[in-house]
Amino acid sequence: MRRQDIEKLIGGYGAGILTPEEEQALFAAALEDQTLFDALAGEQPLRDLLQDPAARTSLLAALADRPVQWHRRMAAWLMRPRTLAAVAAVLCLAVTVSVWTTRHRRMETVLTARVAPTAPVPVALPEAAAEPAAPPRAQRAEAAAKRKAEVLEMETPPLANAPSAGSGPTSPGNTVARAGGVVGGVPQTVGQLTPAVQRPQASDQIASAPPPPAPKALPVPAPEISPLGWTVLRRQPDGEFVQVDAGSLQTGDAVKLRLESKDAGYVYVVEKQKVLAWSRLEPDTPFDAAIEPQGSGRRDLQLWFSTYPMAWATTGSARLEMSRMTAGTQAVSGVEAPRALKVPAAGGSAPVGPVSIPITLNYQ
Amino acid sequence: MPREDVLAKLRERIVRFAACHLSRDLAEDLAQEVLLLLHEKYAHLETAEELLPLSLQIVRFKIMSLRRKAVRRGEYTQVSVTDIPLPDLEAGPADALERKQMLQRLAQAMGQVGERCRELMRLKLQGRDFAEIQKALGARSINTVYTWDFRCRKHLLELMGGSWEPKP
Repeated sequence: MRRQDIEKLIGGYGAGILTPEEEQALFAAALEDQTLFDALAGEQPLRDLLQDPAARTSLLAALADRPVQWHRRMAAWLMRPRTLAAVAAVLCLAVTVSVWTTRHRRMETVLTARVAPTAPVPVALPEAAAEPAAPPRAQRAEAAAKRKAEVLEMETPPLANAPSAGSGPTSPGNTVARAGGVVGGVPQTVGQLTPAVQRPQASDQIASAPPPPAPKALPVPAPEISPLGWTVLRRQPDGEFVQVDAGSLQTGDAVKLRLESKDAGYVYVVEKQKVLAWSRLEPDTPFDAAIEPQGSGRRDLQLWFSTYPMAWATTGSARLEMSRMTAGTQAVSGVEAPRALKVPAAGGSAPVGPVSIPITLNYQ
Repeated sequence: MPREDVLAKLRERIVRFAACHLSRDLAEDLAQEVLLLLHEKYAHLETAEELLPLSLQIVRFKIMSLRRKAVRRGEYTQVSVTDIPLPDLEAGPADALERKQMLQRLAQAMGQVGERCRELMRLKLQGRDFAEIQKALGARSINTVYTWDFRCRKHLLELMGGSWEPKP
């Protein structure tokens, strides 16, 4: 037996469990080595104690009475059949609810627009009718400068839910395809905008007009939807963006949507439940909305144009809704809502409800 | 090894061991008393396996007795050999108290060691030898069990402050 192993027998000496061979080796080594002898002498108190059967029994009881640690108790509890069954049931329920919720949300990712009624249309009297319809450009610029600091509370309640995008009635008067510069897409109007002329408020004003020589109330002009033109631009290797067809894009192309309008208003680029970009549009000042590249396939975008700012919000059912912005409207879901502006929009014409234009980008 | 050789080596070891705890003269006297006792009362023991554990036990009791006497009398000087009575190997009240305290400390320390050490100690307290412990714990070799026991003993000794007995 090696010397190192002999030293390890000291514990056996204290417990009195050494075999005769081990004892012989240990004691022979201890007689020759003072260090080992001292170690044996130091072990003697333990040996004397453990030679007492009562002391051994007491120590064995102390070893058995050691409180089980909490994680061992927890493991033992988890391994019980009842606990396992309960955990399995809870897991099954959680998976079922998760799957159902995911499918339900997919079905409800329809973009809906809730259109607020337009502001009361001022009834123009003959004198007013003689006034110029559109303010001069300088006046409009001044008004635009004030808009950022000006908040107007629009208290008119929502009128009704508008039909979903693309399914609303299309009015010839409300739909204008931009002549020139439009590469694809057919603008559509959303919302019941034409009843503006049938508004009771306007009728009351007309009815309350004095009798002859009462001025003849002019027919309220149907609101004119601002035309919105869009162009797909693709970045070339030299960094320039060139107009391309929406169906001839390649995967990974850097794409911009150039949006133009002849009237001032607000334009929003929406994809599914997300507002990709929005901006205030000034006449003849295009706005380029960058479209982040994705994989191959078809991307359905929706352009919304309105002469007044719209507030976007994600409802509890993950449905993206927009409504006419009021002073109390808050931006949610990371979409910064534009500030409320005075209505009517520039030009004095009646405010125009949101116009929806679907766009399909086809990445090959 | 002949009995005379064993006793000679034992004397040398006892003197050196006791000299670490007592004065040199006391250590010499202590060794002489142990050998005298072995010669008079345990003349039938021949081998080192019999004589060495017994001598260690006698040395321990004598050292404890010397310390108690010194404390009791306030004597920290050399004590005449004739004043030192033969040890009473029966446990007295003081011994019982020391054993009880040591047992409590040992039980407390055993509660703080690891699971394998606890199992090893349990088997040792049951009187299993190292070969049986090897089978019980599934160790590959008996040297592995020696190493485990050496480490466990060291850890237990550290938990008890470096000594099985409370330091005076």
